[in-house]
Amino acid sequence: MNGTSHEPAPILRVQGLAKRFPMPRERLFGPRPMLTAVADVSFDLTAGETLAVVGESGCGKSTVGNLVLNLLAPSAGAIAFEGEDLSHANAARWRARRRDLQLIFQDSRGALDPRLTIDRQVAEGLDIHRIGAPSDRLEKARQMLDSVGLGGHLMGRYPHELSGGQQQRAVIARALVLEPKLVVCDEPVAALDVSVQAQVVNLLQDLQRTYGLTYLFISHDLSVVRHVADRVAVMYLGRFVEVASRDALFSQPAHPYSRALIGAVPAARSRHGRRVQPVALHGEPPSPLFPPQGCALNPRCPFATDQCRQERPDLRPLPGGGFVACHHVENLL
Amino acid sequence: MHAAAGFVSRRSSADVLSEMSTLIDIRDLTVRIDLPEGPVFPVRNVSLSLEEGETVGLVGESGCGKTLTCLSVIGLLGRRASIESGSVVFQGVEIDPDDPDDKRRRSRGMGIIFQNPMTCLNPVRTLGWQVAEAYQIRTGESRRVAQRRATELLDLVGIPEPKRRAADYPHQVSGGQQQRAMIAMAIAGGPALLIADEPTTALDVTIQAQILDLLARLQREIGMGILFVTHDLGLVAEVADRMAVMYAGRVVELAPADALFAQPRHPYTRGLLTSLPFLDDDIDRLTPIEGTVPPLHAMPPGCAFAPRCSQASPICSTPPDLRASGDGLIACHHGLKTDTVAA
Repeated sequence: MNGTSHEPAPILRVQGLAKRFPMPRERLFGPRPMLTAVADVSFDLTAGETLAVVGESGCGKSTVGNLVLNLLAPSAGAIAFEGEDLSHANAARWRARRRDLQLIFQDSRGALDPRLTIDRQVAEGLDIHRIGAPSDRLEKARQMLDSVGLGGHLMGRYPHELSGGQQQRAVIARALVLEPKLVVCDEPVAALDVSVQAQVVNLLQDLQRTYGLTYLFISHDLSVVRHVADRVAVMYLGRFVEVASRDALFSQPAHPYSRALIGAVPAARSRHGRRVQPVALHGEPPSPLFPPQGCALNPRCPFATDQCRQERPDLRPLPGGGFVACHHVENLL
Repeated sequence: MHAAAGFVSRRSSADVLSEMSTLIDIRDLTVRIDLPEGPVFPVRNVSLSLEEGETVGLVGESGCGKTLTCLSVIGLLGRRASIESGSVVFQGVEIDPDDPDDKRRRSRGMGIIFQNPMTCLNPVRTLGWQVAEAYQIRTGESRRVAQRRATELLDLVGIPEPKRRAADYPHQVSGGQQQRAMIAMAIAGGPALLIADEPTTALDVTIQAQILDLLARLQREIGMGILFVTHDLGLVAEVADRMAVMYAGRVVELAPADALFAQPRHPYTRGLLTSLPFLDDDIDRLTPIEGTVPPLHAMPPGCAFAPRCSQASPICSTPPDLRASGDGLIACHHGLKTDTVAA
């Protein structure tokens, strides 16, 4: 996954990222169990591209987003943004960098301050980062709101006076008014109804083109991911199990888990019916507190062998491009 | 409006069905909620029927009235909402929300599962206890029989090691297992109708597929009708024989599931389908429905979709009735203009 020499330098390089959370002791003076939410995650992001991280709830995809933004401190690994190592940066350095790295949340209502009108909230970011003259900030915020489709009388409203889709537009405006380079979109449309979801997806794509934004797009909705992403990373129990270009992943997913995920999308979401033969997984994801030995998928995977129960497969390149962590991928394709 | 009540499904088109095989018949149902600002009508003139053993999908966005329609059917509207007009006929007899005998009849004949099993299960009772209780109430059997039956039911819904799981409390099992336990409670006593209100929305996709398979299997084994409520159009196409699309409290389109997907006829249904990205289609931009759903207290007098509709004209200020179009029914003055529909 590391960029080869002829590729442009990545805007973001993440290497060996891990996050472990200490859990409450089971006995007084007993050992603290550790929950590994993210392990050994590495990826590069090229300026202007969209990398989607997909997976089921609890797989660690939101934790990856939070680690990239330093909202959580990584337990291991390095994060370099535009060549600058940020994994050891102090709070002041992060504050200076934060305007380049912004976040769009799923829960727009919870992300907005209920006591501030939305134009004031969008201008607040400019105040914090001291961008432009104080007198111009509200005007700049209003221009941003206008460009996300919240023009006219909507600007002076409070969050509760807006619909869910309008609130999400306000959140987007607040992130983008700082002219960030990288935006982590954490389930940005999951809480919206489909008709409004399409409006917001279109808006995110338009803004990406206009401002040359790079997106880390975290989602569980595969058809939305198929529509917006250039590359996709599939996550299971804290690790990337497959990273591939969008077209390769959706036409020929290599990892059994990717095949299960894509195969589980209802056939009606495909114009020509289901093309990926679904893989039926047994049971449910295990607790991240007690991950299985070997490949994390082995208790659920119909192709698992003794090797899968003992050795954890590394993410390795596939001949057709892409990376996959599966011992038997050659036999499965 | 009563055209919808008489609308029969594909499977019955060969021979006209008698009254007996209609499991549930919702006739011109309007639900009223009294708010401090005045009454609102989140369900308006809804007519819908369901045959025995049939699955009808009820689709719509949040707030369209699909859940309130279900709650009216099972008689769980609560104190704040009431049936303003219209009726619900279950197995040939009109339901009476206030009659205890009728409540027993409904409790035996219907089961319901909700979106969030965690909040529906009792946290201080074991799964086995709760399933046994549901069975006992419905059948009047002894506690001992009910407990044995509960283990069988947990086995039937695919919970591994049902004897041991029966002693577990809800928080000790995963969301998928909780939903299976909810299903076990809902089918205890073998209901004729299962109402599934967003049964898989809170679950992950691989678990969702398992639950859908389970519901399909149970339907074959028990022969119950399923009213499947969801906001996910793709999902309902997998399970439903017929689909009803609701918008702002009204049914706007009612059609066989495959016909609705092949040729959506109401402008709202068409908009919903173009809003969804396909897994195998390279389109540059999605085509959303512009604007938002009108609030309940400010519904337009005519067609509620008119403010967002590209075909809207002056006639849309009067409410359209459901009328035949293709294999189904739509509530639109303009109907399907074939030249406006992209192939």
